[in-house]
Amino acid sequence: MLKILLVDDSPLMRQFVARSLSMTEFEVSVHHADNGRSGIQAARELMPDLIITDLNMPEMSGEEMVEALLLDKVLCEIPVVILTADSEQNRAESLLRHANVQACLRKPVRPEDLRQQLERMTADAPELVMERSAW
Amino acid sequence: MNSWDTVLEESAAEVLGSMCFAAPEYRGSGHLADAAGAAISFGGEVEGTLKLVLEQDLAKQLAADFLGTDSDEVTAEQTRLFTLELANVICGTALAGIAPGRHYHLGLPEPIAADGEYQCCFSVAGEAIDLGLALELRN
Repeated sequence: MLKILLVDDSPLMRQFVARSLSMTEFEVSVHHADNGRSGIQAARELMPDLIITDLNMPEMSGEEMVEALLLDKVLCEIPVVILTADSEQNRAESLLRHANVQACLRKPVRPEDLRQQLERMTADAPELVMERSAW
Repeated sequence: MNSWDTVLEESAAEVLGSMCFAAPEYRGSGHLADAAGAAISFGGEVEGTLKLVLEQDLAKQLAADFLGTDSDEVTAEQTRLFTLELANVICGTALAGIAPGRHYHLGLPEPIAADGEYQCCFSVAGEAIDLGLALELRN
């Protein structure tokens, strides 16, 4: 089972993404955080297989969270997918240069887009689920 | 209808279609009374505000469609949060078309009440329900 952490200040958007993930063929357990700071804390406790995060959030943004994760020798290995309404291309390209960021998806996201991300992630690292489960 | 209005119309249609499976029908400019919504500001090389107001029955129905539930089960708080998110996503989508390649950042959406005429109004599901957008760009 893939353990996925959703970080978004909108509980509705988290609910929508969680429902979209449940519609894929992947078995997922979804966990929630409402800003970057609580996202880091949740990541430390859960060691998720994937973090899907918004960018514009109060207290700590998604960008700040991505950079903080990279500085942590354990959390830096967790792949991150950005999910944002902010369509600025330069910002997305800048984020994709971070080693842990796998993709930037623009809201409104379709369930199909999320499914493709999970497919890509498991194809690139089929051992990922096993490794993380063993921790 | 100017090019910004066209982008707004297309953005609203894309977002409402993707998020709520709704097919909005463009009705030109208009004025919504007794409606609530959200405003979101953006700054950087392009600055401005996008405002969105819609009748609350529509907001509740769209929130239900977004969440995949019945509108009877949607709370006032969920409706409010949905409206904020809708403004956020429409703004991001519209700016991708209006200001490609420019640096900007989106603020956080805030609740507003209807406050005048909006240049892009829609009907959804053929009912007398409007969605209004107003966009102002500076610089």
